[in-house]
Formats: sequence, structure tokens, C-alpha cells
Amino acid sequence: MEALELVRRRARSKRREVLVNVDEEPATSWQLIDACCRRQGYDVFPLAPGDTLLNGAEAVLDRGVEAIFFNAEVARDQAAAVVAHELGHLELHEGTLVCSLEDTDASTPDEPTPAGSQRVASYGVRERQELQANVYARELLLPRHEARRLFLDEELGASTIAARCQLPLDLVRQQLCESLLTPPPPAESTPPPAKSTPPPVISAPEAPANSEPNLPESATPELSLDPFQRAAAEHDGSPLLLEAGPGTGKTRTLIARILRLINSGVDPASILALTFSNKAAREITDRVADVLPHQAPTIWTGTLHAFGLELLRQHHHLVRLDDTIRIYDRSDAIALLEEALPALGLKHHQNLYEPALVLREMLVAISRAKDELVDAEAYQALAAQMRAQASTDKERQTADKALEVAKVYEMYQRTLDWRKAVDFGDLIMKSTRLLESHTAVRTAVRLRHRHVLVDEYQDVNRASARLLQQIAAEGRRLWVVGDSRQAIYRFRGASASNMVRFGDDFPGAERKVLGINYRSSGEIVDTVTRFAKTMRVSDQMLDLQLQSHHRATRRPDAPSYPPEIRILSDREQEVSAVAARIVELRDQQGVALADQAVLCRSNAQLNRLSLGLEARGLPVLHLGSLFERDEVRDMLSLLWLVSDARGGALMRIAAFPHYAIPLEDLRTYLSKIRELKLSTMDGLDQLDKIAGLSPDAVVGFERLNQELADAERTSTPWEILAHYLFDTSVYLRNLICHRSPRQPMQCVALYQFLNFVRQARPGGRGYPPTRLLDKVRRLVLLAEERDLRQIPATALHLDGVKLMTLHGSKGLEFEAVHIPAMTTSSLPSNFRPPRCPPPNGMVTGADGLEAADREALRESHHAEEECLFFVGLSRSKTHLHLYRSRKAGAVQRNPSRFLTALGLATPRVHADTVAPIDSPMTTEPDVLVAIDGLGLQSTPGRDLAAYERCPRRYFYSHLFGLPGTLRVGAFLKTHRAIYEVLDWLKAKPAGPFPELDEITTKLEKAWQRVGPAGHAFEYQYRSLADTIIANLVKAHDGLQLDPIEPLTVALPAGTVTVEPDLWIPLSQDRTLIRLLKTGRKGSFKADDTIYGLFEAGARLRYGLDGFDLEVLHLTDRRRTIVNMSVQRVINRIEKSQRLLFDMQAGAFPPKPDPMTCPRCPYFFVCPTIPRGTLTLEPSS
Amino acid sequence: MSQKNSSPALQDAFQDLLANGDPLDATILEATIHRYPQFTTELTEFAVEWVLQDQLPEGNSLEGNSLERETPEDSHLADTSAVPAALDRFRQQLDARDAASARRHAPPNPFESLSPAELLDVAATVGLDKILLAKLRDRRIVADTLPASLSQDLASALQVPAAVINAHLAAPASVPAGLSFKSTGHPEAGSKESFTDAVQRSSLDDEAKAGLLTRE
Repeated sequence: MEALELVRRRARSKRREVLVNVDEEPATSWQLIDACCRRQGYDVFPLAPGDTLLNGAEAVLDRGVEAIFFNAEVARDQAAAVVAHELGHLELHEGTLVCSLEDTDASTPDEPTPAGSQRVASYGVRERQELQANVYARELLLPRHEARRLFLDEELGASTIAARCQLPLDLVRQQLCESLLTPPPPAESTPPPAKSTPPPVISAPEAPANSEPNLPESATPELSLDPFQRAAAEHDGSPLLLEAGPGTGKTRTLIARILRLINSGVDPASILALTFSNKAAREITDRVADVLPHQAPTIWTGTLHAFGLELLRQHHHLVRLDDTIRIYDRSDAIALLEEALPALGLKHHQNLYEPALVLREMLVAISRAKDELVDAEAYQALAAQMRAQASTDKERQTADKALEVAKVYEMYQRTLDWRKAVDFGDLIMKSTRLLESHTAVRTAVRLRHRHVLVDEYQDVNRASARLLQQIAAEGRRLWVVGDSRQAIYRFRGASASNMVRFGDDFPGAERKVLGINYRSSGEIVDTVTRFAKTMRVSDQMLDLQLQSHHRATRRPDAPSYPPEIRILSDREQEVSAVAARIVELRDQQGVALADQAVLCRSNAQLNRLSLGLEARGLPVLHLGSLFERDEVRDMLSLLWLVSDARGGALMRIAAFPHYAIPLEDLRTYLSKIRELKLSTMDGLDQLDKIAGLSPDAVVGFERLNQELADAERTSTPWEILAHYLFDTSVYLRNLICHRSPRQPMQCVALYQFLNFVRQARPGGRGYPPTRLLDKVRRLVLLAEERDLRQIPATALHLDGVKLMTLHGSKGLEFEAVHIPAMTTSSLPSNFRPPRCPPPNGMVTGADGLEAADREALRESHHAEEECLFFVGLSRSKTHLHLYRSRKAGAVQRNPSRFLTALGLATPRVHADTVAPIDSPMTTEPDVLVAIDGLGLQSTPGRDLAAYERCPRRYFYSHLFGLPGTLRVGAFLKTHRAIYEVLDWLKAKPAGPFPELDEITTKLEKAWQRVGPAGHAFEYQYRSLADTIIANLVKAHDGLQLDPIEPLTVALPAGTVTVEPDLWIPLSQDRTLIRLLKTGRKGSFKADDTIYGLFEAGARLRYGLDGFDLEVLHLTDRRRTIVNMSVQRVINRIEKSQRLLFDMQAGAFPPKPDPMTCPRCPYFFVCPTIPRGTLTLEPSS
Repeated sequence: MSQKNSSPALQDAFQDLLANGDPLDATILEATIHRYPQFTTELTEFAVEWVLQDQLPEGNSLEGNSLERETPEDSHLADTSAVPAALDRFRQQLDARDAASARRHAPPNPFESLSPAELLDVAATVGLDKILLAKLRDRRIVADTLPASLSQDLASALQVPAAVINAHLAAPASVPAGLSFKSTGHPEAGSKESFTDAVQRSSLDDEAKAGLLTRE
């Protein structure tokens, strides 16, 4: 059971005890508090602020005189929560505690959001205690079931509940959030644990211990260990590297080590337990506290990053930081850098349309450099050396790219230093440097943290290894555990070579091994061992020799379940087979859905499996990309609506069932408010001025106005959404009361999102909702929202098949594991060299190969893929099912080489004994938009091109005219100015190409009107624009221009016209038709449908030989000749015909793309279209 | 702290630590803790403070306290005459830093060993409420402002000489044992106040307050 649920149980139990003696119903918070305190024999005293007994805090729990003192000036409702918080400490913890207002914020969520800088949360016992006291306070004052009842049954909003119960509003909101959006906890059948337990004894076992268990809630004081575990736990006198294969009780042994140290008289405060994930830190904290509740609080447990942060905070004056350290995640870093990018004059890393993409790759390279403790100066030196030694064009280009990264690194670090901020890499690098250069601090750390334990040592990168050397000195009391075969974070610089080097880093080190697997059946252990033999990393290790505890202890007649491979004809069949196997295991073997997991290599595969399993009626635990879920987009649209006067968000909001505003009315409303120059929110207030709305629409708009009446764009996103969901609208009630298989995950997704909104603190410009929306876009574009896909702890017990990536499965175990897509290119995935490879000399592998060496990188990639598969295999306890399809679409797929390594290339099961479960619908038909008047007599080619790129976006922008949202940055403004000049050029009558002066004057006017005039880096952007214009003039020097004549292609579905940018007569018989692009040629190919239309149009007019068609790239003045074969042109024409036909039929399906969608102006509303018909004016 | 005020056993522990190693390291500290387990926390804190102060660049100090640098001649730690000086320096740091550290050097607290029930008995006997009792326990009342008769009554209730009460109150304000603090801040032991102010801020009724305030 989730640890905090035990806390809630105790709170509810106390409340029940106390309410028996309270006559009035419902009890106010103060009546409850009073009754609790009297029952405990405690008195509560309000004190004047600044009273000496408060010690500068808001509340004090004083066990010595059995009193709670609190600041009398805190508002009464807040005071109740503050006192309840102290009662939580009284119930749960020892000692006198002094709590600040932040500590006693009983509305603090249970979990920090796993995104951004909140990832480096401190998990010290102090923080856990405060969290527990907050959770206790909330549950005591307003139990979740009560909050839910008041909201759903009595239909009370949060404000009303808060007023009635005299509680802080945010506390009520948090309880509503948790009670409505997370699944109810498992039934209360076991009593809560006692507060303290006698100290444990580690005794020699009679029999081997059980498999990797959590300690039971009524924790026994003894940990029985097998001989391997005991030897490791009792090791003394030298550094120890414990190699712990999967399922061998690694965490148990680590806990036992801690207990043994404390039992032998070691001061718990001198123990430092370092983990590589917050989840692991939480688990260790909770498990030690179960057994040693008094001693556990002083053990420092957390990630190395959290430890680094604490070091930097404590000694901030030595590293030129403030004591409140701002941590920048990657999206923050990009926001810092993107508008300054032109100042660097990059050539190789340039993307004029989306600099964020280029910056992302460079920031990855910079992060990698920090993993190797290479600062900006050193990076520059290495890159310069590489350049000096380069002897071929390719080598020179690679070196030049590295030099550009060095430039960005230098600017980035300077910006961070100026802002006194750090990024994640700095948490390790700066703290390592601090300890390496300050003897006093290093010695102090070693004196305080005398016993160092490290979990997951295979995930250590070079920087972390150096930091550990500084902390642990010669390592006499250093104890580390890891498994090289589970090293799956090489992209973060982690390397199994650190395990190999342990003896060099800490001379005199010993190695021990855990030899008994408690998790898996004998068959699974055999499979894992067989695969391990084939792994590259095994070359540097002893053979994996695991004894299977299950094999040793199972009955002779017990059934065995060897791993199986299923081969299906295509992907749909593959999903059907997975579904069938899941159901069979549930129905015939009693394996609950919650005990089964589907593990995939990529998120795209997970999404496919998730949709497929849901379509076949199986509940799944899978959030997918949070910001692309409908219910989350509903919330993002609300924020957009509040912050943007033009109302584009209404496209989605109008379709909320309880507004149900028809499509045509929506267009009427938006055009009227534009005409009347009203903002969206003002328009809602003045509906009487908006003529032409249907009665249904008026009802819908009025309801929307009421529900958003108090929303202000200056409010925080949390305030806006919480008020909407918990006070004013029926959205949440409708979601909860409408039961469907997807509803539980929809609620969990909203919960995860609200948690994120509550804790995110995006910087940047604009109102708070706008800043959050910008942050969301960046997170999605940069794929930085991966961690938000994790199911929150409070929802893990939902009955559903768990879907996760192989990476995400690390540390977990399941009764049954299903691994689909066992094909080449999928698992192992293809090697993709980094866009910004490190300079030579920055990284050296264990074999001495330079990391810039492509082959070395490829080898490293394959080694990691093997480790990933090893992790996946070893998650299974009993059942392991692998799947592959012969085809993916029309493409043949070959079996993964991992199957050969397992001896499963030839399937054990030839004919499937389990009938696949097919989806009731093979494809979900897209909603067709009913449009009157879509008589497309003539369609501009650029419209068709826009439709081809994304039909839904085309509908929004071209047919509906929906205002979009997109922050217009300096790059986009520069383009707008350039395109104004190009438009002017296109409209010119026949004559010589204009001179540079004339064009520059036009640019200047455009610049002042739409360009980034006044921007901090205006000079650099203007230089870019000037270069483009100069290249334009150079390319046409001495040439004549003819007026532009559209080219026409008549198709059965209608006519398409395309307009070139320039029409240049070369001779009597030959015309140059030129298309202009502002960027570089790069890898551009003129192969799209639009170029086929240009070819066809030009050929129809001039025949095959009368024209040249080309694209000119203005940044580098390179040309792309367009010269398609006849067949190609025919294919493009046929494609155009189909596109036109679909357009006329009202088919506007969305075309999701991970790069394009986050940059789309309609990202937050897509793909919604309200019901109804849209009437268009007939086009000419 | 001068030698005459510090606990002899604690001073022995500090001397033992400093005498056994230069420079200090974790092994020496562990060994010293093994010999003096009752001073585990004090020894650790002392050792950390010692290295941080002794090795920072000249002019740098923690918490803005400037300390005189030792000259090389008198920095030899094995020389026992240097140890009281080192301990004095440590005491200055602790006094300047926080009351929790100062408490280690304070006279025994006559309230500390009493159970909550016993404390309440004392309060009832002397006519105090929990707020006043806590303030007396934590030395939040200026010693000179306490009526002598009250001091006598407290001494009687606690079965200690009156001088102990006076010495206790004269020591710096403290924060009770088992304190936990939020990591970004340090505890602030509240300042002291007069007995009159403390009575006014108590939860006693007017009559009881008046009774206390008229005592001499």
C-alpha cells in the first residue's frame, strides 16, 4: 500500500474517534481540532506574532508541556490547518518540531511534479515528515470521501465547502483533486502500524529470504538474509562493489546494510544513502523508517543531484550563487538562449524557423560535456585542437560544428552564471569542483558523511564518480551496489566502465556478488542468464550465475511456463494476440491485469498498443503524452481563452457537451466580436450585441460566461482552473459521472496535469497563463514531458494492464511481461549518431576508443540496447511473452537478433492456441465536416499544400479563419519582414530587377512595421535579413522580371493554380520560373506535391523545353532544380486530385507530427470541431 | 566558553579528537565517537566547524563572524595549550550561530528531566500556565525581571536551589531538544522578554495575572 495512505487511515481513524464526542453535525474545523487536542490532553494557544515561543515560525508542537502554539494572526481557517498539521506530527513523529508557513501548507500535493526543476526535490526525512503531517491534516479536517460526497452528492463547490467547514480554500481544492481524480485506495482491512518498533536484529537465516519484498506494514524487526546478502551487509574495512543481478534483493541488502551499521553503533546521521531516482530514495526512506522510525530521520537519503544541490546551497558563497538556487531545465535554457542565437553567427547549427530544435541538440551536447566535467573553456580547447588536426573536409566540418557548440556553451554558461542559476549538470559538476578545490569543504563533507552507500552504481557517469571520490575519500566505508547489465543510461554518460574502474578509483576495493534470484521462475532465470552470455558488457564481467529460489523451492509437479514468441502477420494481429494472451492469463491463470505489463522500446509503440488494447476492451494504465490528451487540452484551451482576447480557444470549448455551441454560431460570434472590437470575455458579457446567434448558442455562451466570470488573465493557471473545476462548472461532475473504460485514466491525467500546473513556475514574458502555455509547447517540442507520462503513485493500484517503456520498467516486477515489436530496427533500435558529437578527447570509453569515433558510438548504442532488453526480460516473475509481426504496413519486418540470442528465432508456438481479440473497428472514421458552399472552382496551390501538410490545420486557418496562438519571436518577425519585400517584388510590373538600395528601403519599412525592431539582438537579426536580401539581389543582378502569371492545372475535382515568386524571361523561348526560400538548401528536395503541380502547370503552358523551374535558397544562394520524371508528375497530380476530393468531401483529419504540432497555432484546440454545418461563400 | 564553564567530559572529548589527528579525518572522528558515544553529535558538529573555519581563506568566515586567524606557531593542535584556545574559538562560533549550540554549554536545565505531568504539577503549584512554563523552561524570560519569591517557589517545586533557577534563567535562550528545521533556514531561538510581558501574553485570567505581577 502507498505509504501516505497509511497516514490517511490514521487521520480518518482519529477523526472517527473524536467525532463521536462532537454533538454538532457537521463539525467545523475548530470543533474538530478542539476535540482532538482535548483527547490528547493538549492545549492550543494562539500567540502574538513574534512571541518568543514561536521561534520565528508559524506553529510549534511542544510535547514537553503538551501544547501547540501558533501565530494568532494567521487567518482562522489557515490556523485550523496549521494546528492540524502539528497534530499530525504528534500522531506520527517524535520530537519537538518547528514549522514554517510553507511547511504547514496543508494543500501541498503528495508528490512533486516529475517535470522540470521539481525533479530535484529533497527527500530528506524532514521533508517526508512535513509532507506526512500535511496529508494527515487534510485527511483529519476533510477526509477525501467526505470531500467527494459534498461535491458530488450535495453539489457544493470548493468555496462553499471551505466556508462551511472553515478551512483554507486550497486545502479543500487539494482534497477534491485527490478524491475526485485518483482512484479510491484499497479497502481498509489492515490496522495502521504502530508508531515505533524495537530496534532490529540481523540474524543468520534458517532459509533464504523471500523475493524482493516490501517490508510488511507491521514491520518485523528482523531482516533475514541469505549468505550472499549477509556477507554484503556485514562487509567491513574496505570499499565494496556489490554486483547484484536482477531479483537478488539488492534494495533489501542495502537496507540491511544500513540497519547493521546502526546496530553496530554507527551514528545514523553519518550515513549517506545515494540513489539515482527520487522513487528509489523514497522507498529507502520509507523502508528504513518502518523499522527504525527514530533513527531514520537523520539518515541523508536522496539522489546525487539532490545532494549536489544541498552542497551548493550550504556553500553558495564559495560558488558565487545565492542560497536560493534557481534550477533551469532544458526548456528554460532554450527560452534563455533562442532569441540570442543570431548573436553567435552559427552556420552549421541554424534553423531559422525553429531555433529551439537546434538548441536542443546543442544543449544535449553541453549536458554530455558536464557529465564528463568538461567546462566551456575546455570544450573550446578540445574543439580547437580537433580543428587543428583535421585533414579532410568531413573532419573540418565536424570540428567546426564542435566549435559552434563551444560558442553556445560559453554563452549559455555565462548567462546561467549571471543569473546565479544552475542546470542539472551543474549540480554535479559545480559540487565536484567545489569539493576538489576547497579542502575545508571536502573535509567537512567527509567528516559528516562517513558511511556512504550508493545504489545503481552502473548508472554513474564520470562526473558522479568523481563526486563520489571526493565524498568518500579512499572509500574505506564506501559500499556500492549495481548491475552492469542494467546500464541503460549511456545517453546521460553513464557507463559500466565505472563499475570496471571501481578498483582503480578506490584501491583495495573488494567485489561481492548476490547469487540468488527471488523474483523469477527457473525458466525466466535461465532465459535471462542465456541472454546475458551474449551481451557485449558481459565481456568485462564474470558470468552471470544466478540460482533460482523459485526452482529450488517449488513443487515437482508445479507447471512451468517457458518464455514464448508469437509471430503474427501484421501489427493489428500483433495487438490482438497481446490482448488475447492478457485475457487468457487473467481468466485461466488468475494473473490480474494489474500484475501484467506490456513493455515497449518507444513511446510511439506504447501509444499504438494502448489504443489497440483499449479498443479491445482492456483497461490500461497508460497516460501517453499528457499534453495531447483531450481532457488536458480542454484545460489548456481554458487557459488560452482567458489569456487571449481573440477567442481561438472557443473552437474546443464550444464543443464541451454542456456548452454545445454549434460551429456556425461560433464563427458568427468570433467575427462579431472582431467587428465590434470586443475581447472574447467582454463579448460573453455583452451577448445582446451579438446578433444572429441561435437559441442553443446563446444558452451555451451564457453558461460559459457564468462559469468563467471570475477568471482573470493575471491569475495563476492553478487558480483559474481550480476555480473552474471545483467551483463554477459542471465539467468535472460530468466527467466523473459518465462512466467509461477510459474514464479512470482521464481522471488520472487531469490529476497529473493539475499537479504540474500547481507546481510549475515558468519564467518568460506575458501573463501567467500565457507563460504556462509557452512552457507546455516547449516541453512537447523538446520531448521534455516524458516524466509526466509516469502514472502517479496514488493511481498505481488501478486495475489495468501497465504499459511502459523498457526504461520505465527498471526496478519493477510483474507476474507477466509482454514485449511486442521484436523486430529489427525496433528492438534493438537503430543507431542514430548524435547531431552534435563530442569533440575528440572529451569521452574515453573503457576500451580507449575516442567517443567521436562513429564505430565506438555505435557499439555503445548496441550495448545499451542489449541492457535494455535484459532489463525487460528480468522484470518477469513467471510469464514472459514476446511478439513480432511479419509486416508493418507494406514493409517486411525481420526478427530481432535478440530472439536468436534467446534461442527463440524459431517459435516454440507455431499455431496460436489462443484466438486473437480483434478490435471492433479497424479504423476510427474521422468526423467529416459538413460544409455548404465548398464549391472549389479554383484552389490556390499553396492552399492545397497547406491541406496536405495538415488538413485539420487547413480547416481551422483557411476555411474557418480561426485566430491562432503562437508567440511571434524575433525569428518569425524577421521572416515576416522579408516576405513583405518578396510580396512587393512579386507584384512589380515587368522591368529590370530592382537595385539593392530600392529593396533595402522596402526592407527597412517592413522591418519597422512587422520586424523585430527594438529587440535586444536587433542588429544580428537585421544582419541576417540583409544577407538574405543581398543574396536575392546578387542572384538576379542584370536580370529582367516579367509579371507573375499563375499556372493552372485542371483536375476532375477542380482547378489548381500555382504562383511562382519570380518570372524571369531568359530568352524568347525560355522562361525561368523561380521559387524563393529564405533558409539554406541543406538536404532539401523539391519532391512534394506542390512542385509536381508547378511542373505540370509549366509543362502545360510551355511544353517540356520552354522553361526552367528551380528553387533558390536565399541564405546560401544555392539552387534546387525541379525536374521530375513524367511518372512522378503524374503521381503528384493524382495525389492533388485525391486531396481536392477529400477537401470537398469535408475530410479534414488531423495529421499529428511531434515536430509540427507543438508549433501549430491551434495546438491546444486540435482536433476538436464543434458539431454543425459551416456555410462558406462560394469561391471564385 | 571558558574551561571552567564547559562540561569536563565534553571538553575531554574535544581534546581527545584534536589531539589524535592533524588533519582531522573521518577515521579519527569515528574512533573518537567510539570512545565518547554520548557526544556523537557534538563531536561531529565540532569537527565540521573546526575544519571549515580553520581552512577558509583569510578574512572569510561563516555567518559573517570574523575570527582571528591562528598564527602558524600556535596552530599546532597536539599542543594542549592550544586546545582551550581552539575550544574558545569554537564556543564563539556557536554563540554567534545558534541557541541549540549554545545550549550545549549552558547550565543544566532543571525542567528538562520532568515529564509533562510533572511539569504541569509545577505550573499548578506555582500558579503558571503552559505558556509561562514553557518560557521559563526555555529561558525566554529575563532573569532579573523574575520576582524573587517566584524564583523561590519554582526552586521549591523543582526541588533545586534557587541559584540553579537563577543560573538557568541567566543562560541564553534555548530551543527544546529533538528540534527539526526546514533545511533552508536556521532556527531562531526567540529573544528574551520581561516577566511582565510574559505574564501579559499568557493565557491566565486577569486575576491570576494580577496575582503574579504583584509578587516581589
